[in-house]
Amino acid sequence: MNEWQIALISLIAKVGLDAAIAIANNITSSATYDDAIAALKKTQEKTWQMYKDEAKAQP
Amino acid sequence: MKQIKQITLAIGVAALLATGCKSNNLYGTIITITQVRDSTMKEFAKLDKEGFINPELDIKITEVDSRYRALARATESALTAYHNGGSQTEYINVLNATRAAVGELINLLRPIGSPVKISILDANLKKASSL
Repeated sequence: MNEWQIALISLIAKVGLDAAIAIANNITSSATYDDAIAALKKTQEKTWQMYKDEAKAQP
Repeated sequence: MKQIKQITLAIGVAALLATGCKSNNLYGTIITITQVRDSTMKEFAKLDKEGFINPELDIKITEVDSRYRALARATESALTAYHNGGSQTEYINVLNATRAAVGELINLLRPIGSPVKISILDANLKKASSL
């Protein structure tokens, strides 16, 4: 078992199967140019303040 | 003659497949990097809510994350140029700088974050480096 597999199992244990699969799926080589551009646009929009506000809004 | 044609065709198909795989890996790499940044920022936000982020660290996070977002903009431009036949080297250079910014964010998280979560973030970023 390599380091990546161990990390993935830990990830499943910590964040749940759905989130771990979502991450694992995006790591596959099936990603397209459009997927990459969408991810880049999304990441530029979200600021540190938005992350803080989102966390504070959660119960 | 027929054999030469078959070999040429085989080389062509292999080259096409290799190029396709490489491109997909370059796309997958940036997606992974953005996800590692997202997970890192969510972890910071959770710690902030719990009162573990002091004003000095808050400023550092703001600085590094602002730089990351500027690099993400540059990566988008470089990726678009690469997709339209531009330089792959330029895209890889800016991609590496973006990845390094995420590494800096993880380093800021290291003293206060959960070691298990940090090891997952490290492993994911390392995976993005090897794609």
